[in-house]
Amino acid sequence: MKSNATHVHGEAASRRETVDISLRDVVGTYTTVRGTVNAVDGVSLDIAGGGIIGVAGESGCGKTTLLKLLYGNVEYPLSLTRGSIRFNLDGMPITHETIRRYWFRRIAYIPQSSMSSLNPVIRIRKQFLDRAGYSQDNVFQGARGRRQQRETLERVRQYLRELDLPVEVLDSFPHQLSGGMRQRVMVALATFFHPDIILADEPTTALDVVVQKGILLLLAEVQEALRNTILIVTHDMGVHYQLTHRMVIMYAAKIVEYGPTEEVFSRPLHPYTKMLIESLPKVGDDRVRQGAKGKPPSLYSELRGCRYAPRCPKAQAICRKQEPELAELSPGRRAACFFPEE
Amino acid sequence: MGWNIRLKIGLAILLFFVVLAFGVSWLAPVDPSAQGSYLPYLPVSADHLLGTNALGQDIFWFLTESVRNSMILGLTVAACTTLISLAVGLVAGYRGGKTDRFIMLLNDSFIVIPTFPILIVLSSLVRGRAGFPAIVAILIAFGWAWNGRTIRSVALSVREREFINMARFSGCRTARIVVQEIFPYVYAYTVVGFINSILYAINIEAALAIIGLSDVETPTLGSAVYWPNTYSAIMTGNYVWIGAPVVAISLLFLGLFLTSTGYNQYFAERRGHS
Amino acid sequence: MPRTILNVEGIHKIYSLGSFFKRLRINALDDVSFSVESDDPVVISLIGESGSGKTTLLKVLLRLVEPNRGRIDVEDRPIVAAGERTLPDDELLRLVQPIFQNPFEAFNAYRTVDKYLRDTAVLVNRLARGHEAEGAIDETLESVGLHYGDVVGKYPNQFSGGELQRVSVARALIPRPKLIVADEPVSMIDASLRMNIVNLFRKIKQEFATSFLYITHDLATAYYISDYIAILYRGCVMEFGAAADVLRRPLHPYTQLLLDSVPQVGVKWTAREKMSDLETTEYAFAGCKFANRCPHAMPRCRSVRPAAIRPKKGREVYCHLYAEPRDQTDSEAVGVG
Repeated sequence: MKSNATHVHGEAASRRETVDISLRDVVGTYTTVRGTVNAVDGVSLDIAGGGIIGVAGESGCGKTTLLKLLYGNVEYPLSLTRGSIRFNLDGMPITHETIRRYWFRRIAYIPQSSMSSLNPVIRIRKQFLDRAGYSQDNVFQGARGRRQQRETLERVRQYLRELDLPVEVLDSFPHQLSGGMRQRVMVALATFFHPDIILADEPTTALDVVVQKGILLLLAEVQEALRNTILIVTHDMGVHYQLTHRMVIMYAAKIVEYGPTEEVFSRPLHPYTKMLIESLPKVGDDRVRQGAKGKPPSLYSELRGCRYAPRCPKAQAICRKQEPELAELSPGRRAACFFPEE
Repeated sequence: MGWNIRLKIGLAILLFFVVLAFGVSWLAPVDPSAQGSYLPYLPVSADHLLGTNALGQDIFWFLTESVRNSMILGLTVAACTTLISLAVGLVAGYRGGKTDRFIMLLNDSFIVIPTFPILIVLSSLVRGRAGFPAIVAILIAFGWAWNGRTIRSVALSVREREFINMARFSGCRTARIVVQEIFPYVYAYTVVGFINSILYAINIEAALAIIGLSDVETPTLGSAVYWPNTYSAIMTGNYVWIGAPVVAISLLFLGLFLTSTGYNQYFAERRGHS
Repeated sequence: MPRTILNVEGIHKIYSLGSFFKRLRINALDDVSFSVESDDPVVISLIGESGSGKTTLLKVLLRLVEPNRGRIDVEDRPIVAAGERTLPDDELLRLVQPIFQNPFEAFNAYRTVDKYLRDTAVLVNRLARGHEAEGAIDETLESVGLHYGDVVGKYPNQFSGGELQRVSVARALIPRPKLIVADEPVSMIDASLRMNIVNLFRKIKQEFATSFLYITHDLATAYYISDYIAILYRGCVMEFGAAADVLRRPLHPYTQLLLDSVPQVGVKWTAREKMSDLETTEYAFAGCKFANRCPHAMPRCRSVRPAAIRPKKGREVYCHLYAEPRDQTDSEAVGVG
């Protein structure tokens, strides 16, 4: 795909400006029967665009909510109760209120379960055409005329060939395809209009390892060709290692670490990151491994100080009283800890 | 987790009717259906809370006994149909396979048969002297199928759940599994089905009575509308005579409906919570 | 003479899908055989992706589904065998117990979790309600690291995934079974907490002399805990042997593919593999089911199903690559392949 890609997408790529994502004290709240809970509780970070950025963390850390907030998919019971999210696209600021206009065209979303975003009674080719009405390129404008539809479909076929997908999928219904194939169709759908940002929420979690590898490498190729930004949420640290350039680690609704992936893995700064990496079993590794002790705090209760303190081997008095800032400890490296690992 | 406002209002209305039907109605000084107990067309007064009608019956006491009889009818039919539909639905759903198909064939035949026309035919054959028990029997015979199907679908879907296997490996046999594991899921549908059955029974009986095909001598909500209708109460200006049972039926139905949907809502919220 | 912990012999299971007009037959399990003999308890891992048949084999072993052919013995007792007298249900429950993948699905949301513990103690162990049963429950909970007081009277939604899975393990342990069958027991638990459960299995194996059949697609935990590994693909065994051997020196191309595809920390991926799109048709292949995706496929692979080749004792691989050269020339002379 590589040589074709630069040729076909070359134009789009050279037009691309990097997108900066700016999060300022973002608080995302769920209203539940048990009360309100801040699934994302005061997150501030500036993320430079370009490349694949991973958001890691375990159950309840808030990563999926963060992605939803970024995409602007904020409906009851979720609400953005504080803070702001801004994208800097072509020098133009987009806020989470105005973002809806840019859906499909400039910002795309790949969900965890493809069955919930593909209309089960519509063939795949119509799903492409439906979204064609929203595209930014002039060729796609007003894709209602039959000729324009045929042309669009021809472009879609060509794109599918580039991605090594059989063109027959266009004539199928979603349920006729396997899970892996559907997810690849989702990737094709999401990337066909050359969006500047792609948000992927656990795109391969439900899939087999072999299929997973295919899809992740596909995403990597797409990113390389389009030179855009991909934000991928997954709890699988192995996937982060293989795919991402930079990583954000979340714990209990907060960001605890940020930095280039290689560095985060080789020299984790936050004790949680360190614990996370060390508890992963590996094939061929005979060392005795221990699982993590304890569990994350309940977000329904009053929380004071560092949220990892109850489980942290290095916790001191100050950790329990005061919340550490996500401080920049070296260029491009941030950690929220009073006593980061050296 | 509180009861929502619907449920509260619905239950309040039902409570009112229950007290009326089972508390107050026994206090009637004379048999309300006996004609000529009083002077006809007496106005509303302290002695006759809703006045008397053309037949010399006290409208209020006739109404309270009507409510009582209708509710007994409704509760009986509801209880029987619920038991039958539970048995049918649980067995069909849990067993599956040929048993399920056979039972559902039977079930669906009953759903498809239109109840009301059959009742009209049967009632007219017996010429308005269809005894109360006969009507109850027919209502039960035609009332269980719908809920049977609902319960069967719940049982079918629950049967596939993993905890059924866990129950099996904990040593539970079929009967225990059906009662302890599946029934809790069916419970809410059963309650709603029960209330809806009361509605259905009272409704159909009233409809039959209004067209004179039920036992109109026995005071029921239906016959309470039949008589004033026959005597053209609206024309003669006896609005209370026809108005009172109509209002009573509407209120009772409202109470049942609110309770049914209110409970549905309450249950859905509770499920979301757990 | 060492006893046979688990013997799976010639298991076939065919599912028939589709309508009256167009029936599709899927060989969910196609002549699956493997056997483990040992004096000590072992952990046998069954590794496969979706469609491999591992779940179906689990269901056959637990007698939730009947195979078309074949037999299974556990501890030399017949569990599944056509035409023969097999173990009665109540004895099966004392010999084999399951642990399921999703602990929140494995418990009924409307029941307290100790209901299942008590049922198992009373109905399977035949203990008396009250003191006896409670004592057994208490003891077993302690061995999985839980306190009786923390568990009793609570509903599943009051536990975390890891805790609930522990309760599930405790329940399976109450009858002191000889074999615990665990279906993806840690896949729904956070990665950092998985080792807690996996280490618990190790502990149980040693303390209670219980063997495990560990069904998973996660090679890392399988490597860590297993003594033996069987690799399944589309209902067929591809490779079988001692765990360290199979995962460190994989013989079958599919095993190699699996190992290459696991996103491991430390070694970066290089190439993209060929995708499998023909899932349902692959089940019906006459030859090796992996032939379509195999980088080493030969003409023979598409027509002849590989038989088990034993490069050494206890090791099996179902692949023509390892057939004796003599066998190959013979069949070529006959015109096969």
